[in-house]
Amino acid sequence: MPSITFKNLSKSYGSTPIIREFTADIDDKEFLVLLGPSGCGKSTMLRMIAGLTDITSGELLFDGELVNTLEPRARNVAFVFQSYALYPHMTVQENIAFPLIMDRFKGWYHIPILNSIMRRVLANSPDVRDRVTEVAEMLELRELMKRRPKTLSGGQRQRVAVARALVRDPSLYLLDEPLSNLDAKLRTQMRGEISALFRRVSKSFVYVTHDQVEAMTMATRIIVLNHGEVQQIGTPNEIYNSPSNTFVASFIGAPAMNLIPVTVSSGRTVIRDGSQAISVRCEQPDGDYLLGIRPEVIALADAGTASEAYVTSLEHLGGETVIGFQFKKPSQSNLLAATAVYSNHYARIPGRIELKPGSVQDFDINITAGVWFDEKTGQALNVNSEELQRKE
Amino acid sequence: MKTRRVAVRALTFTSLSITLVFAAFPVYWMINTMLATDSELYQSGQSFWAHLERFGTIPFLLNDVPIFKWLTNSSIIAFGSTFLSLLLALLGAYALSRFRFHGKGLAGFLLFSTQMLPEAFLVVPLFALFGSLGLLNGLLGLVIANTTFTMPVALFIMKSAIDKIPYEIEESARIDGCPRYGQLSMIVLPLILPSVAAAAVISFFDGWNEFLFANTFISDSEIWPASVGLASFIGQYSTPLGSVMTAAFLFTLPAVIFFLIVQRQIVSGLTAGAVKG
Repeated sequence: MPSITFKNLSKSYGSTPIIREFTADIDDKEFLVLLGPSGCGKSTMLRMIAGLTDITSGELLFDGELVNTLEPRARNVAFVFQSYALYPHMTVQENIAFPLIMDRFKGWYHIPILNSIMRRVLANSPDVRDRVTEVAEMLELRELMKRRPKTLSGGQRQRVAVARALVRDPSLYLLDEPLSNLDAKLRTQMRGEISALFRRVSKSFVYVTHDQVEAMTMATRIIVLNHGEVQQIGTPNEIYNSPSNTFVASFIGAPAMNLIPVTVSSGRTVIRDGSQAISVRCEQPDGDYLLGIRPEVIALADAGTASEAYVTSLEHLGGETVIGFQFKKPSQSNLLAATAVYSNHYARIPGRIELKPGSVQDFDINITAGVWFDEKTGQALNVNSEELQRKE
Repeated sequence: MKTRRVAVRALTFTSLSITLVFAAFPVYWMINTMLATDSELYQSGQSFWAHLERFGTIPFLLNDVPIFKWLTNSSIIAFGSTFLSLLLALLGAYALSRFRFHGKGLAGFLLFSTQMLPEAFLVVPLFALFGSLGLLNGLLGLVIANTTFTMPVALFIMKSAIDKIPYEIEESARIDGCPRYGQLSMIVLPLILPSVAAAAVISFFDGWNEFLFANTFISDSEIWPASVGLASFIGQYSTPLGSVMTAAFLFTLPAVIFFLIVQRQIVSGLTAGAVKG
């Protein structure tokens, strides 16, 4: 059960960097999610942990022990592939038993003919049999044992892949987008099953996904990646409430965090788009900022009491309403165009709200719950809302 | 609509029949000639319909020629070069498909280039080479010479089959603790078996039918393969047609049996790409 330490780890193919140098420490028994858009290097990072891809520079440590050059088997990891990578010519039973048989394989068993005899002998040995049956029962695969992967449904294949990972009792589970091939309903169900599995085996998990919902619901710790660069490492709560830069802010949450361009002069915050002022005093030094506000912190307010904006869209989700708005007065054509979202901000209001697109509405922007970003670098500024509140 | 279907059917049937006649008539004529008597062949004329009733009376043991010795030699060459081709081709195909190394493109080109040169082109250099290596006038030399030409074909058939296997399956085996040669023998090989069978048939028939090298390299009639032995019937002054056809019939038989055994695998090998596994 290792803790994972990345020490100045990086990966490049030739002169093309895939993952830029970073350092991180992941505790034992964490559910670590590597999150990022496609092509950000998260799968490469997982493959480096597994030992399938060489590490270009830096050190990877399991429990303080250098594993850079160890073969995957020696690292005692299990890997669930996005495509499940089941062995097509073997039955479900043989697929699940394969890692156990390999553990008991000796070099001279690889001689042809003897090979297939020994595989059969090992598969029938009591300890292998019992373990396979036990795992199959846990994942409800007993009826499928004699079937071949191509006759199974997506969800069943996925369970076989998990069973094959589980059977060896590895210390580290690596999962590469295991749910992306499933339909939406099955995905929700399997998400629950994987979380349950994590609690039951209490081992370390590393899970790659581009789906922020999976990340937020399953992770105990998230590494957000973009263009091979680690953007932020933290708990789901930290990632959600205090994103380290505008990328993280706009990647997490649906709709994402509003980034409102503002100007601060002597404690007064002015929204640049429509030159509305926010009444609450702020402690930021004078300058231009992006103010990050989650849609659910924004509330509707009576006319004349808060920041005035123009409603551009309405989405009724049943229990809540997502209201799109902007501070600049929209032209009529802008309002009708489907692409009007560019300068849009969103508010998430509980209940069913009826508003007309194009109408004027006051929105209460609670800047104490906001995150301040440097407009040029996109980095979050140290003085975040919690510190502000402590000062007051 | 219905007339159109009938027309398509008739057309298919006709074209298949014509092809069949072209392919099968020589074989039929071989059997027909084998079953004819010498007087029919040289005086009264051969009947179009084969005298199948004479089948039991044919002297298959041709006393004056060692036909079974020759057939044994042919089998040794065919099976030997098939085995050697498949073994080398499998390893080579895996390397060309999965490994990155310097000279990979060159290796592929050189293997391919053996198919561009006619065999006759290489007879003289191979003769000189085998002479100094002491491989002339022996079956091993023929096995090696045939492998030179069949191995690249087998290799490219297997390489394209390995290319189609998702790499993740082997990576998965690697995670499960399966070493590289285990990945090849336990994962890759069972998955490309239809293609291996197709390659085996091609290698086998190449070895079985090979004439040029055998005719050039082997001087001792005891170690002739059947192809050369068969050709030796054709004399300068007379050709005993009945005996030639009997020998030819015996020569054809093992090849047909071998083909029937692997035939099913080949058909599935040819359609393997069409059905997603």
